[in-house]
Amino acid sequence: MRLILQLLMICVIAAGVGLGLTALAVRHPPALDIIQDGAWVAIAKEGAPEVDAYALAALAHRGEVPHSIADGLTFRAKDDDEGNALSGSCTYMISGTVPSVRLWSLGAYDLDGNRLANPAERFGYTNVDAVRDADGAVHIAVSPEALPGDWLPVSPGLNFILVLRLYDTTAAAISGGRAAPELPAIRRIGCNT
Amino acid sequence: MRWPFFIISGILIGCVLHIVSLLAVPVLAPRDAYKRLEALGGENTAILLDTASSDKSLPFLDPAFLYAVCRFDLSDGPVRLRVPLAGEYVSMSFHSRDGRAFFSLNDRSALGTVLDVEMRDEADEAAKSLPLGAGTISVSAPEPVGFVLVRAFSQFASSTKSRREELSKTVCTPRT
Repeated sequence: MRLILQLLMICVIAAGVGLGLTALAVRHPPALDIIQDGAWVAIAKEGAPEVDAYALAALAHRGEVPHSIADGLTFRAKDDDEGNALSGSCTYMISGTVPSVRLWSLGAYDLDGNRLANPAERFGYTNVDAVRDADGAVHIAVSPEALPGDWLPVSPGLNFILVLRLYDTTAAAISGGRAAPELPAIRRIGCNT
Repeated sequence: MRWPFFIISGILIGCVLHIVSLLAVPVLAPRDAYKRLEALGGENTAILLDTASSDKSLPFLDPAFLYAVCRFDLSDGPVRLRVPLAGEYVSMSFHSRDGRAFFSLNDRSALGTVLDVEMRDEADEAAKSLPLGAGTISVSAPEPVGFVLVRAFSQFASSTKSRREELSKTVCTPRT
């Protein structure tokens, strides 16, 4: 009787530790091999055959298909440049130059990967329709309320993720010898309280 | 007391269980990409995704693109894919059952106005008994089951309808 209880206790601890760690890891995968600039993070081998087990499990948990490494690079931002979670209660300005690639796109999603419904039916910007200033920089406002200039709508009060995709390129081709390419800044302008 | 022994052995077995369960996630996850695609249609058939509906597409797809998919099964022989070059950027990425990307191609690899691909499993590829047509790209899959994701850039709402029509001509079919 005592032995059974003891074995049972080992099993409970093992299940709690093992499955608990896995459940945590698919939601917040440890960053093993990342390319980072400011709040933007890409997983270097996410789209390669030798993708690590944590990145692959996190993709499967979300139901997401990885961006194949020869097709391009996917950068995600969950926070602004100061480290605060991106929130639909705030207004942000994304400004700076995007590396020179054949095609890039910026989109906003809820935490499950759905588009953010909005009356303007505007879900993102690309190199084709984002306005660039004389220095080649983009200035895209991200806000639940309509703003002049390039405006990417988000849902009021809902946390969101920004995704910047660079197509038909590799990190090495656009980083100019640095560890990561230079990507636009994500600055919080203000929040509704 | 034996408490430290129980706790330490529990944690050690837990670490093993963590590794085993982590490796099992891509196959057992109830809503991974492959299972979501299974709900949309059969194998060896091209299916156009509807990015306006989360039930008829996949999460985190690029809003500037149109997508088509084909779940392939090569156990009965090679599968042929023909993707029309709908728009300025068209690419195909090839994935195993667990989502792992093993190959990709874009419009720059195309001869003419279609990306023409024949997928083979390793046995058929090794046998080299099946000749390829001119302009057809051969892709060898590491395992017989997986899926192909086709992307076509379509930024402007005005051109989306015609791009969709072009992309809907994507063919995915067992080689006859």
